[in-house]
Amino acid sequence: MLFVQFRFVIFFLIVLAVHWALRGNTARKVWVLCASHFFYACLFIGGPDSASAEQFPPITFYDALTTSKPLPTGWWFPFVLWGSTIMDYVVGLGIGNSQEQWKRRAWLFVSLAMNLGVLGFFKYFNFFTDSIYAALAWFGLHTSKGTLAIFLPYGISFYTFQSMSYSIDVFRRRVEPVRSFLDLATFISFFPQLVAGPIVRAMTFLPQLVEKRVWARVDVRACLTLFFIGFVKKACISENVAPVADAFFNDPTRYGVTATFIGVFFYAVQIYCDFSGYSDMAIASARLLGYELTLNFDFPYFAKNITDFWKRWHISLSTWLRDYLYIPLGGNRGSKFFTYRNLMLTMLLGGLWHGASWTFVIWGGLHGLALIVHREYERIADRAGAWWQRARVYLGPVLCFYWVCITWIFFRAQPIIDAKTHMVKMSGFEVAWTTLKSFVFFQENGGKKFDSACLWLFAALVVIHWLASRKVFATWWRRIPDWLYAALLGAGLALALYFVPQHYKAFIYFQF
Amino acid sequence: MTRLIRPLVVILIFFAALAGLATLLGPIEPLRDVPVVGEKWTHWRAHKDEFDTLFIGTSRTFRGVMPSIFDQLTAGAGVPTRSYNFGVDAMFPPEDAYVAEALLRDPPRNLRWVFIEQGLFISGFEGRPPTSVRTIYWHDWTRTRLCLRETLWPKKRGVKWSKWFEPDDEKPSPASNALTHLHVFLLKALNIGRGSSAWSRVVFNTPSNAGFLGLAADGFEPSSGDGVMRGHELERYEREYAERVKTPTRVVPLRPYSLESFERQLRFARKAGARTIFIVAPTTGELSGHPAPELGVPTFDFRDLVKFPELFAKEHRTDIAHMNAKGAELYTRRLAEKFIELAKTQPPTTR
Repeated sequence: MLFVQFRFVIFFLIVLAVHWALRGNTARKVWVLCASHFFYACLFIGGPDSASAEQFPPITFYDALTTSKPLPTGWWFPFVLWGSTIMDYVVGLGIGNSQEQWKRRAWLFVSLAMNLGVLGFFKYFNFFTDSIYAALAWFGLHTSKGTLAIFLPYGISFYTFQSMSYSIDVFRRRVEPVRSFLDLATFISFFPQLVAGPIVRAMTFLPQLVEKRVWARVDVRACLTLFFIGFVKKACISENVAPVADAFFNDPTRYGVTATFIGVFFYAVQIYCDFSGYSDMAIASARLLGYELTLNFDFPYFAKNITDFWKRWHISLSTWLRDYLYIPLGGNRGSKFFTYRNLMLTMLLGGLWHGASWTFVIWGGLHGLALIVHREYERIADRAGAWWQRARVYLGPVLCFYWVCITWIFFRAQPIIDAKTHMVKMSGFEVAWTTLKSFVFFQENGGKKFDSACLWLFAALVVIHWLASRKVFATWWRRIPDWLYAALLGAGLALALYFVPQHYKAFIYFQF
Repeated sequence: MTRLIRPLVVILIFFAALAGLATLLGPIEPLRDVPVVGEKWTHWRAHKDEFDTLFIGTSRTFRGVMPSIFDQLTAGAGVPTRSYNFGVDAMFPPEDAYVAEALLRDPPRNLRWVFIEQGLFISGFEGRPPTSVRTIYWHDWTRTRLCLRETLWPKKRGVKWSKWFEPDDEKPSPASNALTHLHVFLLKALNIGRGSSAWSRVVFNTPSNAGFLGLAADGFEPSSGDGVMRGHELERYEREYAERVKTPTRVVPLRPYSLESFERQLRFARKAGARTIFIVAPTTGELSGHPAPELGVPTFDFRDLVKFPELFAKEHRTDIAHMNAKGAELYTRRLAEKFIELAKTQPPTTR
């Protein structure tokens, strides 16, 4: 069940109606918790490679238990989620009840070890073993390779970070340990943000669970508008540019320079619209239930520089990494070398968080490098003349976007498998290198082109996005009467549905 | 009370706007991006005024009727035609009626004859993905209603409602089938995927697949493969052929919903100033459905093994339902003979 599917609308309307019909806060939380687990079950019943459920979860489980049908592949995913929740509940209480610092540290260590252990096992076990085998082979030591068939539970990267932040905040005495298990379980498994964020902090969300939500405070029009914008981003834009980006990255050797630019730019559009569209819909759904989630995107492609980019892109992750990794590592408190080391380590681990592949590590490394270079540049640029100060206002965003696109090449580069032989035709690195040759060195790889309509679409998207960043569309829809708003929303939806493809891809960040 | 009515009115306005704009967008090139249908449609739209005769039907028409031969024979006999084959693989009723209506809504200037092949009314989704472009495009309310009625009230008689929920031999239950039809209708009504398909066509410069138009660009394309029956296919054909020799094909009236679908096509053809001819392709089926005589529709039935032995010779067939290239030529000749006979005695009314 994806946010963009009709079945989600039905599911959400039921959740919403019952939620607001219930009087007690506890009853509402129980209801949201149940709904969250139903939502989660819908994801894995579709199979490990699919994020759509064709079957109704209770029936699937009942069938499996009463007949000889096998359980769905990810039947154990909820146990990992519950395990993480129970462990952090106990750790939170443990830290809260301990006065001695060493005991508090020990409890925190348990939480970090368990959360990172679970994440490491499910996400990185095969990556590390493969890398070790490859390294041994490089030294001439060939060993028999063992790989476990491990399915990555949906949302594990997000909820483990969320539960870790709770333990750390309790340890730092920023949050009181939660006495109500229901509150913590609702916080960790809250369905709008369960599988792809935004990564919500305990200190912002838990107080919202204590206080009873009031319908009168819900800005329904703002929520519907935000949800609609998110829907358009994902279903109309991301899904329609994705085939172009996929066609390009499935064989970059066949395309010329212009087509390479289109392919890479379209991937930049795809990933932004996919993820920020998801975040918009998550935030809007949560707001309709009366809860506030963290802002995740703030027009990142108009960032003035790379440092600014990281204040605007995946904000909930970048601030998490800043608060729970960069600052504990020492932040910028030491020498320049230590600051840069911390910056690079943070970005490398941030890259690795996205996926168990060296291309993600390189993606993080390139961003770390850019952040370091930018820090050095800032010191020089401040002393430059007035003309340069004016020029950098215009040059900065362009150069920043170009660099971000270069890093996306590594992010997107995946091995190409030959359809007939099922052998790896091109490794991820080869895909990235071939693309870079064209994108950076303007070398023609092939003669294949995309239609010029792609460039027009890209230009139109830039203009619309720029207008949105200037808040041109920010308030006018608030001032119009209800009937006109409803008519515009209905017409807008009809137009959007015209451009929605028949079959959706799962959100890109579901795989992380 | 006002507190309740106000949001209800707003919700109604929302749905009215949604439905209104969706209805306005619906008629924009409805067949353009449907596989095979789209290619034939595009060619028809560009050249329709060159044609005065139209063949609509399933693969038996698509792979069996050769407009070039047909036109040559009719010209020789003094009743010249210029025909276009709009047969499409598996285009059974009620899909064919949707296509016929789309074609006849904006007819060619000189349209005079419309040949409609009799096909089995298909109300299920056996073997067809319900959410494919090919299934969605014809699910307008008229067709969906027909399918719902055929599913829930076959033979126009009420079925015990409890039967609606009983699956039949691996097939989904009538209720499930009906729900799927409604779902597909919603997808059609909301134009899901239409703009996206058009965008893909533009971006990837998808060439029009001229293969479906045939070498003469008249819509005929012979069956793929070497055109010879072998193994199980041949055994099955011989078995069915033997059965038909023993008990010849029976002629029965069209089933209620087939007739309803057909009558709509007939109305559209009349409105377009054309005369309709009903054709039953040479297959070995047990029953042959014909429209009621009072409709006044001439019917060319080619399922008689004795009258048309060459059409059933195994060397002229590629499988149980289709002719090979040689068979298609023979079938077209037979069709032209019957048509010439009819055209000479009962010429169509001119507009």
